[in-house]
Amino acid sequence: MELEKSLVSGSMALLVLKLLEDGDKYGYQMIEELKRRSDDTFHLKAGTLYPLLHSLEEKGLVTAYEGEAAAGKPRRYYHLTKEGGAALREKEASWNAYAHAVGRVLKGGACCARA
Amino acid sequence: MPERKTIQAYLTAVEEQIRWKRARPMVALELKRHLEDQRDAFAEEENSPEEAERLAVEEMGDPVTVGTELDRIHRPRSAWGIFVPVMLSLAVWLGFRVYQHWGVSYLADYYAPRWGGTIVLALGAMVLLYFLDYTLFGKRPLLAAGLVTAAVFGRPLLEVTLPSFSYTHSLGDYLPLLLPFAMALAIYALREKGTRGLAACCVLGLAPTLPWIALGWMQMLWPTLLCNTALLMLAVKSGWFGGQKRNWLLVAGYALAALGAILLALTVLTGGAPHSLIDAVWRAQGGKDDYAVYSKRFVRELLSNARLVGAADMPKEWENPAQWQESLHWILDFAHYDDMLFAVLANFGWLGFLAVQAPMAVLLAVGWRTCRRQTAVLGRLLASAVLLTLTWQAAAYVVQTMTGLLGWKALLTPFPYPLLSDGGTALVVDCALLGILLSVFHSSSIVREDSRGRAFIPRKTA
Repeated sequence: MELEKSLVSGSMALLVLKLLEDGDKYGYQMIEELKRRSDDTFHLKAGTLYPLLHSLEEKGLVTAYEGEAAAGKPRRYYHLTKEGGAALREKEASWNAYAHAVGRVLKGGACCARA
Repeated sequence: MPERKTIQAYLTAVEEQIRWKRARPMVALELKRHLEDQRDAFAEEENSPEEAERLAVEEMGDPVTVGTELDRIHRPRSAWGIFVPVMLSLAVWLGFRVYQHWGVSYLADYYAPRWGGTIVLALGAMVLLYFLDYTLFGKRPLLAAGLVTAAVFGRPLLEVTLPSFSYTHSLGDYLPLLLPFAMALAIYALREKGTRGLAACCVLGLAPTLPWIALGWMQMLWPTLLCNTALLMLAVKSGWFGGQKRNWLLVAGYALAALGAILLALTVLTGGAPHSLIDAVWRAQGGKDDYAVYSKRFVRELLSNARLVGAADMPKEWENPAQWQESLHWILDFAHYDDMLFAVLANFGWLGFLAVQAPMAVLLAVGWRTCRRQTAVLGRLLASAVLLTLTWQAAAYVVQTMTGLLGWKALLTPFPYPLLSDGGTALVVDCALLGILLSVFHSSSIVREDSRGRAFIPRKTA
């Protein structure tokens, strides 16, 4: 299913931070992991991912270091910082509240109707 | 014929959008590795090599958009928060010197070239180090630390007798201000060795103490040991030596040993009778009429009579206002490194006292805030070493001015206020330290660490 771009772009930082929550990853790995976890729904362009990662690094939400990937290839791994973890929890809470509110509206108010 | 979509062409197009040339290889290297992974994945899906490369490039997105986005993120960090306070401080430094020597017959022939030369040298050192890739210090950190320490102990070699003047000027008096910088390099070099590395740093941090005391170079001992302790605490807190609790015990041991060294220095300083310091304090307060005690009483009188704005009020014990005014002018005219702030306070009040320190306060506030954001270990260590040195210099000077410090003064003087006190060597060394600080901040977004945590700035994409 093709998603509207605007729906995805607003939540991209949340998704990237979430991917790093369970371990350090490099860019290519993140794109593949995102595809796998979203059943091929999210096809994140590398050209979108790297500026986002560099901007998260700039804000101190992730740090990066050179590590070795498969076959000893050097890759730049990203690591979620404490501040990044806190930002992730905040973004998750705000996303959940948003999704819940959208869900209620889409249900046509049935959930909130008085008995 | 349509242009062939190759990895190299893509990278060139991205790099063209990034205005800061030093950032280009760092960005291109990461994108190149990604493109190669993507190309290999397409090749595994039975595409020809050319087709796999074309698909990988297409998958990446528009190079101009990507490059523009990355250009927005990777700009040299603005250094105005440091540069402006430095220039203001240097203006005060020069203004103060000119005021003191105005009307002196050899002002133009002797002082003007001397001050001008000092400022040119200080700014030159700062600018040179600013543009230097600071990660070079991390290539051979122990060698660099050793060279700095050797320079400190080579001070006798740096003594020069100026032509036409009979006194000897030591160019090495304030090189010990570089010792915390050397300590930062030692920590960086030995941090991978865990607790053993920390123990080695503690030994190295104490090693210069005994020869220093033996040579009688007391004035820089305690700030160096305090800065070293703070750097070791930072390293242990950040887990750079591993997370063992015993590391904290080692640092506590270092702090105790440093305290012991300071007490030993006091003992040596007072000819084996530290209690004579207490006597000195007591005598000073008792009001014996020798010159030293007189000047300390004068300091206390000025402090208690200082006004918010303007010259200090005349104490009750003084009877001659003209003599009081003359004393105030005298102290301003002859203030050098250890009484400069005090002279400003006496003549211009507390606002003047705060105003001349405002640039340094801004510099330190901006510096510490930016230092906390450094993610590279080397950058964080070097920036902390520089800022600790400047902070201790300023704090010790203010404490000395505020309390007179009586018998303790011998340990603190001549300890210059950074960028304000008289003394060209201290100015040049402080500016060199600031150059290193600026270099760290300037390139923070493009410094990378390899798998062993060694800092580098990528120069090529291969």
